[in-house]
Parts: sequence; structure tokens; C-alpha cells
Amino acid sequence: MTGGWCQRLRTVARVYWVLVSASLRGQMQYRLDFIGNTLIQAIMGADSLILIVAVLARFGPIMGWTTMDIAMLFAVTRVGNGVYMLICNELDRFEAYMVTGDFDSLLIRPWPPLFTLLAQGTGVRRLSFLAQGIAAFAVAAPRLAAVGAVAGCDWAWLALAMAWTSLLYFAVGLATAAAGFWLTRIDELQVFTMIAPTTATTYPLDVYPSWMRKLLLSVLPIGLGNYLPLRFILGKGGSQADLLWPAIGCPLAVAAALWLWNRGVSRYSSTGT
Amino acid sequence: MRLMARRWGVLFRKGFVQNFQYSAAHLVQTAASVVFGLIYISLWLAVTPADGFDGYTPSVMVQYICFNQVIAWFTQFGMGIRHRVAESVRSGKIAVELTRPMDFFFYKIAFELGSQLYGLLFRGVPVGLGLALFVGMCLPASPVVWFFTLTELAVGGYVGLTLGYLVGVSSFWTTEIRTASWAVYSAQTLLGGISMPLEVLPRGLELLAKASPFAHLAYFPTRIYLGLSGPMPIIAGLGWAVALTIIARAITGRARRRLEVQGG
Repeated sequence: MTGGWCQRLRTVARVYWVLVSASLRGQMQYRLDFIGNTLIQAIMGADSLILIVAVLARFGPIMGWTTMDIAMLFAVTRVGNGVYMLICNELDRFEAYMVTGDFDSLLIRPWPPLFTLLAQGTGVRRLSFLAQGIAAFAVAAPRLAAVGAVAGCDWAWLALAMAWTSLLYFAVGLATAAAGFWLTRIDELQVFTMIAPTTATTYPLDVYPSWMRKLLLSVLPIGLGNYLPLRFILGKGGSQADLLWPAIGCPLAVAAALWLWNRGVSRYSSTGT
Repeated sequence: MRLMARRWGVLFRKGFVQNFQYSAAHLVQTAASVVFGLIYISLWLAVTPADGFDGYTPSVMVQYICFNQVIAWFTQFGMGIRHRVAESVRSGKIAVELTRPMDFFFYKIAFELGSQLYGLLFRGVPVGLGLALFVGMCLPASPVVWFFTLTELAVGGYVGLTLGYLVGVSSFWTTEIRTASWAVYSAQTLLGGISMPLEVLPRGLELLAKASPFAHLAYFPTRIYLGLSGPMPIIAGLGWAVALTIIARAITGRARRRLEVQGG
């Protein structure tokens, strides 16, 4: 029985790799163009970090969060977002599949549509998000370690926080894409469900009114993966339960998103010609 | 001249009217914009000292963010000009557009101005109303302030469109405009002052930002609206509008000579 599962997993991994590498070869046709664009995007896209640093330099810590604390929060958010963008790029541009009817072609493949969709292409052009997150981590980690704010097991919890954040982005991204089965056009909805929470959770949630904090920890739960664990790790309040909440919330969020996705697929009728 | 003005008027109206078909999507965007406004307002209320900084008290900062979320729908958000120009180049439709008996640059700008005016009236104003429900919005009492604000806003909208046009027209030389688009967007966010007054930036960057065209998209119109600044920035804005027009038309001339359309 276990052998059968292993065999199946190996086949899935092989198929995924074949499809993804074909897409990568296509994207890397203009290698210099790709490297140049990624570098420029990584540098120019750091504007949000510059804004945060400017605010902190001018006004000092925000609700007790220092520059390095917020840099770590930024790092966890960006890495989580970067990993999601890398693997789930097609979810992010799912509207195009709905508008053109291209989703039809995924339904006739001998694999689940979600798997085939994700294997259509990676967001290798969005590596800049990951690069920004890693750069912020490289700056903040040694400084936080030097003052003893992060030590020992905290590093493992930080790595886990990045993984939770990626999973939560996946859950929210999948649910938003699934909404496309009913709404068709979802680009605007993505601003609401993906971009706004990303901007909001770059800062400690303590600055927001209670209803917004609850929203960012439940319906659009990105804060569950980054803010909650970091609050406890960096000693800004909370309890050890903050490390465990994501372990409960993430699987629930992913399960809910998958349920919505499957409902959407079952009611899908083509919009193409 | 009158004929030209009539043509621009037709394009302006078409740009305005075409947006009505996306009203449901715009409603979602409005909600998202209100949420963004509330995010920034919460942040600024948390960091602004009670006695303020550089003339910005907490209540002024609230109004600063609110007004910026409204006017951004005219000067920055929802601008399709760069994608529409790039798409014309990619599809080859550009060949037809360039042969029309109109200046290509003004042809595009007239259409997009109509679209941006729709953005201000049907997306920006509702955002203002939405934010007013949460934090209230103060309107200037003086008609003179309104006049200068709207003038600077018109200049800012034109500058924003010209910058978008320059990004779009770069598609004559490049395979894609994503990077140029991203670079201009980042510069607008950082140097335009949409999410914070430019005085917060380090001194060197602040001066650079104030001298750049980006400051006319958000910072200066809002300063005039809030009564923190007189009409002087309008002159600099007009200077940028003229300079960018000259650059855009010169580049369009070069692009026209470069154009090669395949197929038949």
C-alpha cells in the first residue's frame, strides 16, 4: 500500500518537473533580459521597505516594534509571498484562464485541474519578492541575534512562520481564484484579498483597529502566519499558543479553499469558443 | 484647431463612457481602496506625535491619506495607457492608429483623460465617501483653494498619463514593458507621497522627490487642498507637463520611423 503511494508520488513529481521545466525553458529564452528584469524588480520593488525604514527612522519604534523587528516581519511576509508567487503563479493570473476559456484545456488532462494549473508555469520572474525577503532576513537576523531577541529554537519557529505564511497565501490565493468560477473577473478581488493584506501585515497588527486585526487573523488570515508567531518570538506579547494557532488555522484555511475550488470546478461552464 | 478640439472631445467621451461596462469590478476596487486608506490611516495615527511634525498633526494626516486615496484614481490608479499602447504594438494595431489623421500622442492622451475623469468621479469620490464614513473628511471652504487644487490635479493627471505613455511607447524597443512599468510604479509610490508626506523621507531623497514629476501626482495637490501650500507648485507642474510632452512626442517620432509591421 505504502509502495503504491510512493510510486504515485514519484510519478506526480516527475510529471510536475517535466511540465515546469518546459515552462522554465520558455521563460529563460532571453536569459539576460530575465536576469536584468529580476534585478531591477528586486531593487525597485523595495520601495515599501524604504517607506517603513523612513517612518521608523523619523518616529522611532512603532508600538514597541523596532526597525529590525519590522524588518523581520517584512522578511517573513515577503518570503512567504515569494514562495507562493514562485509555485502558484498561475493562480495569481487565473482570471485569464476564465476570460479566454483556457481552463477547458486543463480539464481534459489526466490529472487534477489544480495540479495541471500550477504546473503550467512558475513565477520565476517574481523571484524578486523572494530576494527582497531573503535580503531583509540577512540584515535583521544577525542584529536580532546579537541583542538576544532571537535565539535557539526561535530560528526553527521563524522558518515555520515563513512556511505557514506561504500556505496561507496559497489558501487565500486559491479561494480567490475559485471565486473566478462565479465572478469570472477576479483581478480586482485579488487587490482586496492578496495585496491589501500583504501591505497591512508588513506592519505589526497592533496599529490597526480591532475589527481589522480580526479580519487579518480570520477571513484574510495572512497575519496568522507572520504576525502572531513573530509577536511571541520577538517578545512583543502573546503566549506560546501563538506558535500553535497557525498549525490549526493553516490546514483549515487550505481545506476550506480546496473545498471552494472543487465546488467551482464542478459548476464550471466554458466561456471560450 | 476647432476640428482638432472636437476630435479630442469625442475621444475623451469614449474614454469616459467605456468604463461603465466594468462597474461591478470598480465597486470591489473601491472597497479595496477604502481598506488601503484605513490601513495607512491606522499606521499614521499610531506614529504621528500628538503635536504633529512639519505641520502635519494626526488629524491633518488622516485628511492627507483620505484625499490621496481619492485623487490617486485620477493621477495614478487604473491607468491603462501603458498597456493599451503596448498591446497595440504587440498586435500590430498600431499601424492603423499611426495612420490616423491625428497626432498619435494627443490621440492617446485625450482618450485616457476621459477614462481617468471617470476614475475620479466614479471610483475616487466613492472611496472618499467610504473613508468619510469611518474617519470623516473635511472640505476646504475657500473657492480659491478649490481652484488651485483642481488646477494642480489637472496638471498631475496629465503628468501621470504622460509618464504612462512613455512606459507604453517603450514597447517599440523592448519585448515587454513589465519592468519599466514596475520601475515607474515604484518611483510613484516612493517619490509621489501617496502614502506619506515627503518630509518623512531623508533630506536628500525629500528634495529629489519634490523636484520630480511624481510629487505632482499626490503630494502637491494634497498640500494645496489642505492649505499647507500656495499655488506655486502648479508652475513647476506645468514645467514638467511641457517637458514630458516634448519628450513623449520626440520619442513617438522615433518610434514611428522604427515601426515595422508584419503579416497581411
